[in-house]
Parts: sequence; C-alpha cells; structure tokens
Amino acid sequence: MQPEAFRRCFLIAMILLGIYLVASAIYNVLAS
Amino acid sequence: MTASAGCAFVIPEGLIRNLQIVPIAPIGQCAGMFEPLLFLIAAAFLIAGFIKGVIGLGLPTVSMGLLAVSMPPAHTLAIVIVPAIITNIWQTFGGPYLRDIIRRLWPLMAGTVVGIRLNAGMLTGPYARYGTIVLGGLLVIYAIVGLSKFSLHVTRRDEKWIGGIVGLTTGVVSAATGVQVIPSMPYMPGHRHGEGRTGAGARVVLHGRDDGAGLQSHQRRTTDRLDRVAGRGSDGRRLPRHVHRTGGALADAAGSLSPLLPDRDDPARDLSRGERDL
Repeated sequence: MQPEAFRRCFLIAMILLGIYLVASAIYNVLAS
Repeated sequence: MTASAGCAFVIPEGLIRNLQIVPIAPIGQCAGMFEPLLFLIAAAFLIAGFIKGVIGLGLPTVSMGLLAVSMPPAHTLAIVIVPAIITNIWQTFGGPYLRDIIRRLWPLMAGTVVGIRLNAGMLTGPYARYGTIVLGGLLVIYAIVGLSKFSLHVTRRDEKWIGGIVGLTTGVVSAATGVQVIPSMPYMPGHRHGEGRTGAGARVVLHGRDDGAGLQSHQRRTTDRLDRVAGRGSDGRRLPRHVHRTGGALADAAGSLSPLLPDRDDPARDLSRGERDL
C-alpha cells in the first residue's frame, strides 16, 4: 500500500473513531 | 524535617527487610497484578507508532483517540504525554532547522502556551466530562481537513499575528482535549508530511524539524522536488516517467508546501530574498 493510500485509510478510520467517541460520550452524559 | 532526622528515619526503614520484619519473598497474601488495560495501551501505541512510522504523523492524536475509548482524556493524556514528548524532542533536535522554526513560528508557540494556561482547568474541572465529546469532534475535523488537504494561506507579513491567534486557539482546544492539531494543522506551513517529521509534540517545541520551516533554508532543493513531482526538470522540461514516479511520494508534501514557495513567475520573490527574510 502506498503511503498516500495508507494515509487516506488512516484519516477515514479517524473519522469513524471520532464519531464513535462523540456518540458514546454523549450517550454516557445523557445516561448519567 | 532536618537532614539528620531524615537519615535517622530512612536508615532503620531500609533495614526492615534485612531484619526480616517484612518478608523478602511474598507469602501468599498478594496476587500478581494483571491489568488488561495495559494490553489496550500497548496496542494503541503499537498502532499509533506504526502509523507515525508510515506517514510520519499522528502518534499523540491516534493514541489519544484510541485510549479515549476506555478512559477520560485526562487519564489518556497522562499516558500519552511522555512518549509523545520524547519522540518529538528527538525529531526536533535531530534536524538542522530548529533555529529557523523558532524564528518563524514563535508567535504560534507562545500563543499555544498562553492558550493552554488560560484553559488549564478544562481537562480536570467540572466540564471534563465533555472532553471526550470535544476530542471526538476534533478527530473528525482533523481527518476531514487532512482528506480535503485544506490549508490556510498566509502571507509572510501576516504570519506573526495570525500565528499568535492560531496558537492561542490551539492552546485553548489542546488544554481541553490534549490534541494539538486544530487549528494549527491547516495553518502550519507544509504540515502534512512536515508534521510527521516533527510530530505533534513538536508543537510544544513547535515543529522543530518541520519541512515547512526547513523549506525556507532549503527552498531551492524543495523547488527542485516540486519540479520532479510535477515531472519537470530544473530547466522546465518534462522528466522521464520513472523519475516522475519516484517523486510521487513527495507529491503531497510538495503540494502542501507549494503555497510557501516563491512563485517562479514572480521575479520579486526570488529564492535568495526568501532566505534572507526568514
């Protein structure tokens, strides 16, 4: 895999991770 | 406690094991510690280190994001800060560009320090529970900015005061999340690959070996890289295809650095003057 393609995959994974963090944190705040 | 009193206390304490008051070997009351979180931490740093090794950036950002899945950002930052600082200090002082970086980006660094001080209680105060939300949002913004290759184009004259504002904002955000990429990343000249070489910890010593600033003392070389990426020789003629392909790995870096490069068609912005102005 070329570095640029790897970088793109990494950034997409970061988007998914960020969405997960936001969703789970909002859920925890609302649940508490 | 005076020094003599301290010694008088320490020496008998040190002899407790020798006197067998406390057994040297465990006698069964204590179980071996097993902490599954250690595996998560190791895996997070393994992934973050791998990513940093491949694309040259993101160790603190990735490790913060991964570890924040299981703990608050304040705890995450306490784990991440030492590896991030050590690796980035290494990179910062490993290159020849530190002086140029400091001369050019000191407002950004100073603003970051002030911003962190202003917002220092955010990570541990009453609003700390929202830190993970902000962190997740930042990761999304960071990734979108990276994918879109968005960057702020700032003239050399305005670089100082804009850098101060960007640094201040970065510091405020960083104090709340531990991530120092927004908004300094789109502002940072030559960020995409430069950040990899300097790393986020270099935002404390801010981008010590960043290509963006190294560019200024190596503009001529970087311009040649741009030419190779564009498939042109120094004389403007197109290079053979295999040479162009060789320069492909530099394409992104060169593309992000290009706003800083003097326009080849503008005789008023020649390279030597650019070096003097730095």
